[in-house]
Amino acid sequence: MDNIVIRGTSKTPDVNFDASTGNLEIKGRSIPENSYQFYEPLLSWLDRYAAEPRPNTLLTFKLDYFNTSSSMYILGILKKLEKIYLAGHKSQVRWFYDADDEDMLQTGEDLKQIVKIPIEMVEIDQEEA
Amino acid sequence: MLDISKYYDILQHERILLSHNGAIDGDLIDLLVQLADKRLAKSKVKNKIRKKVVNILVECLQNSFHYSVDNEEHTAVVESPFLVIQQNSENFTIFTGNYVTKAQADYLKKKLEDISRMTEAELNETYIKALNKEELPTHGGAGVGLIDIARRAKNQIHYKFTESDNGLYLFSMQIEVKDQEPQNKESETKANPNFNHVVTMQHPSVQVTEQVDPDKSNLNLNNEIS
Repeated sequence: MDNIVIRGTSKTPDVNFDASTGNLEIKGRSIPENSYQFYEPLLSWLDRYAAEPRPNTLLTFKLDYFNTSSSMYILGILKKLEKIYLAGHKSQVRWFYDADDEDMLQTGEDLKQIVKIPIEMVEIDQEEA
Repeated sequence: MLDISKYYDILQHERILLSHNGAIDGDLIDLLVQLADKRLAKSKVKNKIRKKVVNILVECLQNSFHYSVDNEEHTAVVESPFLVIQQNSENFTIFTGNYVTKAQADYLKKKLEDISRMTEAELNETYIKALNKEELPTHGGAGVGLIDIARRAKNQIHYKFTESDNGLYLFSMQIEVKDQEPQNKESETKANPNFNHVVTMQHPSVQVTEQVDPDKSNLNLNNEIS
C-alpha cells in the first residue's frame, strides 16, 4: 500500500502516513477553505490501511492552527483509528500543544471525550518549538 | 487637498494592526492571515494571544467568504466583508462582518443569542456535541465556527444586525481577545476601560444607530482605510 507524503503550505499541514511502519503524522497549520478536498483522500487511505494495519499504529498531531472544518476531519481521522483500535490492533494518538496554547490543549481534551482511543497530550516547551 | 496625515493619525491612534474591506477569496484570506500573524509575532504579544487572534481571524474571514459564495448573485454581499484588528497592549479587538440575507440574519441572531447565554462549560459541551454530530462538511464549518470563536474569546462577542436599504442585513461582530482568565457573565458586556476609543465600523449605505460603547468617544471608519 502506498504511503501519503504531502508537504505543508500556509494553509494545509505536512502529512506523512507511512503504511509500512504505522507512523502517521499531521503537522503544521490546517486552515483550508475546503477541508473536504484536503482530508477526503486521507480518510480513504485510512479505510484501506484499516484492512491491514501494522501491529502498532501511532498517530501524531502537531498543529499550530486549525479551523473548525478541519477539526471535524481531525475527528473523522480519529474515528477511523478508533475502529482499528477497537478491532484489537494496538493504536495510540499523541496530541502536541504549545505550553501556553490553552485552546489547542482544550481541543485535545475535547477530542479525548469523543473517541475511545487513548490520546496522550504532549506539551511542547516554547524554547523547543 | 486631502489631509493624508489624517489616515496615518487614525492608524496610529487607534492602533490598527490590520484592516480590510472588500471581496475576499482564498488567496486574500491567506495573505491577511499571514500578515496578521507576522505583525503579531513582531509585536511580541504572548504566543497564546497571537494564536487566538489568528484562529479567530481565520474563522471570521472564512465565514464571510462562505456567505459570499452562498450569495454570489448579490454583489453587495460579495463586496461587503470587512475586518479591523485593533490592538491595545496585550489585548485585541476584532471587528468583522458582511451583508447577509434576512433568513441568514435570523439564523445567526438566534445562534448568537444562544451562545451569549452559555457558560464556558456549556460552550465546551455544545462544541463537542456539534463536532461529533455534524456530517463531515463539504464546505464551511456548518455553524461550529461561531461556537469556536466564542470559546477562544471567552464569549466576549458583541454583535449587531443592521437592516439596509438593499433588503440585506449588515451582520457585524466585535470580538475581544484578552490576556486574562474567563470573566463572569456580568462583566462580559462592559467596555474595556483601557480603551481610549472604540472604533465603530460603519458600512457604506447603512446607518449605525447604536454605538458599542456610548460613554467613549467614537470614530467612524468607512472604506477610507481599507
